Amino acid sequence: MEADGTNDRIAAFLRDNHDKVVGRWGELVVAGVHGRTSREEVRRELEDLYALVIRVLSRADEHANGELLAALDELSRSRARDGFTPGETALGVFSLKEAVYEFVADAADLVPEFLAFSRMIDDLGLRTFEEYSAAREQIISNQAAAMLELSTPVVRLWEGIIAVPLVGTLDSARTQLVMEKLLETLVATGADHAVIDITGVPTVDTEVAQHLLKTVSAARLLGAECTISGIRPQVAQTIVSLGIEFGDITTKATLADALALALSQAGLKVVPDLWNECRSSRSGKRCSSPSSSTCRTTPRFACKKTWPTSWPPPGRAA
Amino acid sequence: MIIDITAVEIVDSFIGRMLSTVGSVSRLFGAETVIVGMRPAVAITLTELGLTLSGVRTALNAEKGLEILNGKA
Repeated sequence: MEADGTNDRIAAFLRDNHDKVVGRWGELVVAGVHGRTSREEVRRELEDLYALVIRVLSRADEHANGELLAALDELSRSRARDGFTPGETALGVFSLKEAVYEFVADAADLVPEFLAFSRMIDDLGLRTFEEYSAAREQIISNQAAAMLELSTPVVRLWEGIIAVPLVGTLDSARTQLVMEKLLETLVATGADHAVIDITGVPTVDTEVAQHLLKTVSAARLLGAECTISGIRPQVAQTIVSLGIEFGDITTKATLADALALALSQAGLKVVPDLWNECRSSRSGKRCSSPSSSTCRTTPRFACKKTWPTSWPPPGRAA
Repeated sequence: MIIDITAVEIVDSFIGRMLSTVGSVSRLFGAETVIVGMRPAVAITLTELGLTLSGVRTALNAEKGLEILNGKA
């Protein structure tokens, strides 16, 4: 700020023409933001800024400068959050210059002072711009972190079987996160089978394949078997045409196939529930327990032995 | 033979190669080696180093390692 009396004169001018300048400034700002904030709200914000600008210009106290910058920063941040463009945000400051100029133009002797004032407003405008982009950067990095956090769930499909449904493109940072989470879950749950489902991965190129292979071999080092599922026809074609070798890693078309494979490797089998069909040979009523001696269709798991010959169960055939 | 590396927190290429060598040497004696209790960080490091410990079996913990040696899994 200049040390001579120029600032005092412009400060006095601003103080004297308070209502006119703030009114005009408000009009310009409201026109600039296309009515997205109400006139009263704009007016309130501008009144505060205007009072601070006058305090800075008249050098009334040393805190004024800091307060003005803080108020501007806050305004820019809220504009950034509310989705205003940087232009609209900076316009809020620059239009003060325009509003003042309209009145200064009548009083020709204030023009030199106006130039100094104009420089100050330019600095403030730049400041809003910087703060606006800083706020935007913050929003973007928060969202990226949230997305990274959301995009890597590890779900338990069955006792000893976990699945990682991957959605979106795999880059190194995500692979690292997926790998860490998968391995930690393997250790925490003691699961020995993991299914990596890539249904949501749009394209599989050599880099993505490399990341998948790394994840699988890391899981293998822990002693868990890995299956890659959800390979769509287009993805399969790409993999073959790129000459990517998955080696001895099992791949399946769907998550269901992979689950069935994992279950069978764990020695489990999904069988139809026969308990509902099971009827007593004497009364024809539903059996009271699987071990009932009168039961003709051996229910549940034991049924595997007699199932093919006893179909349809007697109760059902009736 | 079971090698429990639960307490190993940091590995380098030397340890990785050593584990592989121990596995292949013991196979010469007709013994099977299972490495158990590898930590996630260790597994990631070994993968980044390109060591997949092929030829050595791995298991999550000592119980599962014993199951492998007993031929259950």
